[in-house]
Amino acid sequence: MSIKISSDFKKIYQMLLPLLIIILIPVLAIKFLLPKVSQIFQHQRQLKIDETEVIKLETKADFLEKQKENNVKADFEKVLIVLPNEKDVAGLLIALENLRKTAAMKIGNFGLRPGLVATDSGELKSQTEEELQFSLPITSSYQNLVQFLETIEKTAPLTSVERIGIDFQAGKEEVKANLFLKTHYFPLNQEPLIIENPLPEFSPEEKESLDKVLSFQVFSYQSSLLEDKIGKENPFQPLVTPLLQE
Amino acid sequence: MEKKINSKNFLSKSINLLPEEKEVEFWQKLIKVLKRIAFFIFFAFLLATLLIFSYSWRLSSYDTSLEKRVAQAKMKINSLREEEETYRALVQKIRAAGEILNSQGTIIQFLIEVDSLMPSGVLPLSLEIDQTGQIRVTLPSLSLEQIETLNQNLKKGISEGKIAKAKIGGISKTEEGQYKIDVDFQLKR
Repeated sequence: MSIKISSDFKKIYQMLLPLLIIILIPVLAIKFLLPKVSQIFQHQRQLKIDETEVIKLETKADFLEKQKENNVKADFEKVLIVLPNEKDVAGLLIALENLRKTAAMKIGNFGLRPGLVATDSGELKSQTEEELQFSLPITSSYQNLVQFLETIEKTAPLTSVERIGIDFQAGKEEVKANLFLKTHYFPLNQEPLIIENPLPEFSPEEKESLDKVLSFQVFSYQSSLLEDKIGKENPFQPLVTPLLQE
Repeated sequence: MEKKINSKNFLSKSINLLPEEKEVEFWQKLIKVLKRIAFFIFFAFLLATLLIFSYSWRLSSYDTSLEKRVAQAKMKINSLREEEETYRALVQKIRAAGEILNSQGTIIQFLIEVDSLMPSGVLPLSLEIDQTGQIRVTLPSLSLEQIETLNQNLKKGISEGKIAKAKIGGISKTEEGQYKIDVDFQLKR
């Protein structure tokens, strides 16, 4: 009898460990491994989001690096002359003066009322404050007039021809024209820079517009001054020139 | 008889022995199967744990590398702040000026259109054009034939979709027997 009991006990004892393993390990797997697996999936999802974010940031950094190499600042400086932030009356007068010289035409007294040129806040609120309208009486040949219209539209600051009145004179090649022009200003909206914010992209049309702006003719203040000889001659010029050359 | 009994005893003995052996064999088999299942489960658990933890470790090391990349990219963007400001301002300017830049050259285009509409050899007295395509031409001396040509040209312009509307205003006869005529029309952009 005792042999029988001991043999049964032995059997149970032999089965105990495998049974414990069979029962406990799935319990352990459910208790510890399953949460870990779901954690991994969550982590994976988060990593995918982070990866996209990293790619975006790296692309942005590379793009800005490229902009630095391409000298975006130089381009912007030219764009700023063509599309000024505020009314650049002096710039406009220099451009007109230079155009007059090159276009071989008579430009009469032009009507220019600059109005509000700057504000305390640096903001110009109404549309009319972002434009400068003026009229320009011209006497020239018809061909020269058309050429002048083409040139003025490609000269900084950005000017558009709003209206033209042309009077033709019988038997004469010259025409008298009155141009109504509008120069535009583009105040900048300062937005806070956020690193994560993506950069705006130029559409093909906008790229074309940028190329157009960069091809504008720009007259500098110096060039218009140096070429002009206004007033009396400098009596000391013959004495000063050799000294300057030394 | 005794022999018979003996043989009977042996038989009974052998009958009793057979299930006991089978039982032992059954238990042994059961234990063996259980041990195999337990081993398999244990091994699978071990392998799964190893895999899960190594994958988790790989993910967290990748996470760290991503964090490093983010920090580097942010640092680079920060150092290029001025370029970003310039680039954004450039885009803003071009977008604001887009419409005006696109409308450039329209007046010259209108001048060419007007020239093509006029009867040949006719010089206008005055011409007014605006950006919307509104045109007013005063022709000082036209013959009836030229008025007809002008009329045909304007009708053709309308049918071709170049002109939205055309109006011949006042007509007056000059001393030379010619006609002075005002024409208003709207060119399409």
